[in-house]
Amino acid sequence: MTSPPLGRRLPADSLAVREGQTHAGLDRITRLLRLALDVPMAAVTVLEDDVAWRPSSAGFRAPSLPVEQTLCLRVVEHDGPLEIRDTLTEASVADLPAVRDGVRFYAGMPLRDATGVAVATLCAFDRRPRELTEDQREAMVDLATWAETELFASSEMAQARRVQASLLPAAPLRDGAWAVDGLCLPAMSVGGDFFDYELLDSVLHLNLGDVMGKGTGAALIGAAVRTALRGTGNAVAAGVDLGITVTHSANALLPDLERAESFVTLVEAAVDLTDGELRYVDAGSGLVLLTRADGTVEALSGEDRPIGVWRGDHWTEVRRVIAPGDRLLICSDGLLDLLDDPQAWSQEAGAMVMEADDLPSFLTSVAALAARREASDDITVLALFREPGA
Amino acid sequence: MIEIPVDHRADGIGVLAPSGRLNMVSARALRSAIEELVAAGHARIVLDLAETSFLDSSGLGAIIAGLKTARQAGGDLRIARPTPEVLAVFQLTNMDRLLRPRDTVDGAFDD
Repeated sequence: MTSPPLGRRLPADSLAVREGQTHAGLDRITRLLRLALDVPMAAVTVLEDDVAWRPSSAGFRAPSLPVEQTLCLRVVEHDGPLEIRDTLTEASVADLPAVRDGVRFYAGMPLRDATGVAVATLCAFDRRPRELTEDQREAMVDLATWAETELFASSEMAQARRVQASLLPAAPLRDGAWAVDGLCLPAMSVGGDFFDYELLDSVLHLNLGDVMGKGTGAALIGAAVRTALRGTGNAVAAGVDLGITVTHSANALLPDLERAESFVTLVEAAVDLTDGELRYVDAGSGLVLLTRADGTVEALSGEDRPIGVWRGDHWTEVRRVIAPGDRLLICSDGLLDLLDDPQAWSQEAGAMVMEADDLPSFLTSVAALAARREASDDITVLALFREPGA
Repeated sequence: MIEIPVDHRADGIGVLAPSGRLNMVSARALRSAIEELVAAGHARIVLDLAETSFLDSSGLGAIIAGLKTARQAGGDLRIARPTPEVLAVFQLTNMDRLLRPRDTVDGAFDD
């Protein structure tokens, strides 16, 4: 007699990812979880029939394994958050392969599908016994909410979301004292926000755009704008005035934007990582700020209009210096909805940037805020931190 | 649904006064209201924003489209009396120089 499967048989299209595939959105979450909880390993585990597989893992390679051999099955059985502070004191898990391989600490959050059934987990592992702090538990809850949105969606939109997530940079970028990373939380399955960065020689080329409206139409235009800007990367790195490169991209995009009756607010920037010189164009975004090592916040306002609004518009490059200890934040207006007073956004957002220990913890705090306030607009942030004394 | 009262003034100027939230849902209604005014020969339009409590990028898109429609027909579109919240959107996107906010509806076409 065979025993019934422990996991659920999942409808083939209920997940945004299949076994053997990777998922850029989930990778971002496990990476943030690992940093937020200060653990060496984090993963998303799907429990399907008898097999547990991991669409995303950070800090370790995770082959599929029988469901009954996982700690994650305990989360699903328990049907709630689970924290095992020392696996050696828990007789029920002491014989599991992970524990025999040295896992002493485990934390797992159930991820529920649209019908409310836990079919996957967001989980973290450590090789030493420990206890999460209250802040870490909150971060885990927030990241689990985000993971659910990434993991469960109708198949077609999930596919679109996966493609869109793959258009974002795959990993944070570090270079000496510099770190750049961002996150994009669409209000629907896909959204009109995007950000991008690439390192060309010693020049960091980065941008963030917000296409009018939400949903699929905005996403299609966002992909076109991103591609147009990528195409100017070499000119940007060579030091060509950004006013020129943006005007060039805008002219190329204008017929499409006019036909679609849309427009784009954009911040296009280049930073010379050898001396910290920032060059940027603000096309109607107005949402750029620079926090200084001495605690001051400068909102970098521009005077140029969004792209696609007016034939014959042109754009202007502005310059600043990002000194050691300074931090640059670029965001979409969705972030403003999350703040207590959107009119005084630069002070509030500036404080969030400065209070963060590092870039991952800043991004975690934004994701947490978005989860708590149930954002209705696309939220995108892009941040560049320069370490002090470097 | 948003209400957009229309006033056809004797001097040929059309006044639209959308009340409530100008967002993705209501932007379409505003766009058609402007197109109808222009089609009816009122290419000079004042958008009275005194009762508009919220404006997002779709709403802004409808206003820009309306401005283009009006100018193509030889007229213009002017905005009047925006609330501080709505004014902030125009300022943030640097659209306040293309669409300079006017203090009154009656004086919106004085210059």
